[in-house]
Amino acid sequence: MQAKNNDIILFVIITTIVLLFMLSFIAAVLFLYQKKNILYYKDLEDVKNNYEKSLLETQLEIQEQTFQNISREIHDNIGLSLTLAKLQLNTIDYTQTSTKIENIASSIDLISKAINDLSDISKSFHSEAIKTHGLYNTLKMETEKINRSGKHLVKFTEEGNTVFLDANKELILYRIAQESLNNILKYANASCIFIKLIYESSHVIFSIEDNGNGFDKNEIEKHRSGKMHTGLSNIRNRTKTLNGTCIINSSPGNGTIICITAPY
Amino acid sequence: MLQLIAVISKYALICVATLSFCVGLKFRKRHRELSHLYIYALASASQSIIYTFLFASKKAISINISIHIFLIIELSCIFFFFYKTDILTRIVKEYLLFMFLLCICFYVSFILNSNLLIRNVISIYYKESLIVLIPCFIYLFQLFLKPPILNLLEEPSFWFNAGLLIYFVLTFPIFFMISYFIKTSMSFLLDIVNYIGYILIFSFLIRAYLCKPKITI
Repeated sequence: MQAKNNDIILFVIITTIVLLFMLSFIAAVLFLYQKKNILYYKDLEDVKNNYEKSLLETQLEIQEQTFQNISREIHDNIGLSLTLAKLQLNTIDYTQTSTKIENIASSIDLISKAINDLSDISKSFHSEAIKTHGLYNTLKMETEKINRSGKHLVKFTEEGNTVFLDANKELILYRIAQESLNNILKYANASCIFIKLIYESSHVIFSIEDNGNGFDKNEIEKHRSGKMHTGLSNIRNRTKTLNGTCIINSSPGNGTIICITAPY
Repeated sequence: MLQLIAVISKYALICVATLSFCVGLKFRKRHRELSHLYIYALASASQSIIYTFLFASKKAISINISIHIFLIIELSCIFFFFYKTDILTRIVKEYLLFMFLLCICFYVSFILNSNLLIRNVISIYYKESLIVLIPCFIYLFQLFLKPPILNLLEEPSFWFNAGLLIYFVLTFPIFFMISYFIKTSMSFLLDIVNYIGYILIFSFLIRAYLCKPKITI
């Protein structure tokens, strides 16, 4: 009887210990998981913050670049035209009728050119144009403008079924195109530019190719962080904001090809 | 004294299982993985009541049949629960389904060939514990493999799995030594542990049913 009682007590003790152990085990699982959960969300928050920070930096960089472009355009084109016009108007010899008319006509031409340049700048920096006309039409207008100058031949083609992207994505792609064209016009010394817009099932491919001087890619990579090549770095940063990929192929004397792939 | 505790715990189990059935019936559409578990609660409450009457009338074969039916319902409900839970991966679910079908086939053939309708059926309890403990631990393993995005306190499958884990871990060694307890006339201790274990399972099931529904977009 005493032995049976001892067995019962032992059984009750062991069972209670097992029960308490299991309850503690479940509590420990809960605690560990919640701890892991808190860490996971903290990491996620950090990643989000870093992403937002880099996005903000990119936006500021893009904004800075845009201001530089405006400033340069105003200084190089409009400022020059208006200065010339002012000079011509200042140097008019009122006694000589023929030169007077010639100078006034020339000044009118320069002022008209300045007005046109101003209008072009305004259009190219105004994001409403892309919202109204879409990426394809805006790029077409941009290429026609370059073709009209007669210095370059731009061929723009579109492949696949047109997909209307989100307005912000189209604007970023358009800015990439502008940046690339700007680089070609300024540095490439190219005669032909080929622009392609290819719509695939899940992504859009934008490529721009020229037959200009090209550049040493390794040299560019070395100075990637420097301000020398902010144009290319802007293209890369803008592609990042699209969650896309950017491939730049170039070698001295063989032109350059920039290929951007961005998901819809 | 202990026999009185056994009787009280049995009635407590009937009450908790009935409450769990009522809550389950009311909230069966709230959580997909628990939608069928009110049947388990009903089966448990019914089995306890039937067992009490059959035990009093000493109908051994009827007791065994009721136990077998309950075990099959219990196994089916538990495996179906694991099959429906989102924590386990598709491969694990398919493996569990295969295991379950295999177990049922073996079980039915075992009953028919070993004449288990006449013999004592308690010997198969620990085998059942072993079968159920495997997916319970796989569940916990998979839970920690996935990104920890869940709020476990509001995760119904976690609560039910915790209930199963506590019950089967607690009863596995006891059922393993069942012959010793029967020999020393201490089987009422088994009953107490068994009833307390089931009370825990159904309490956890009620908690699982009362978890906030997940918002799906």
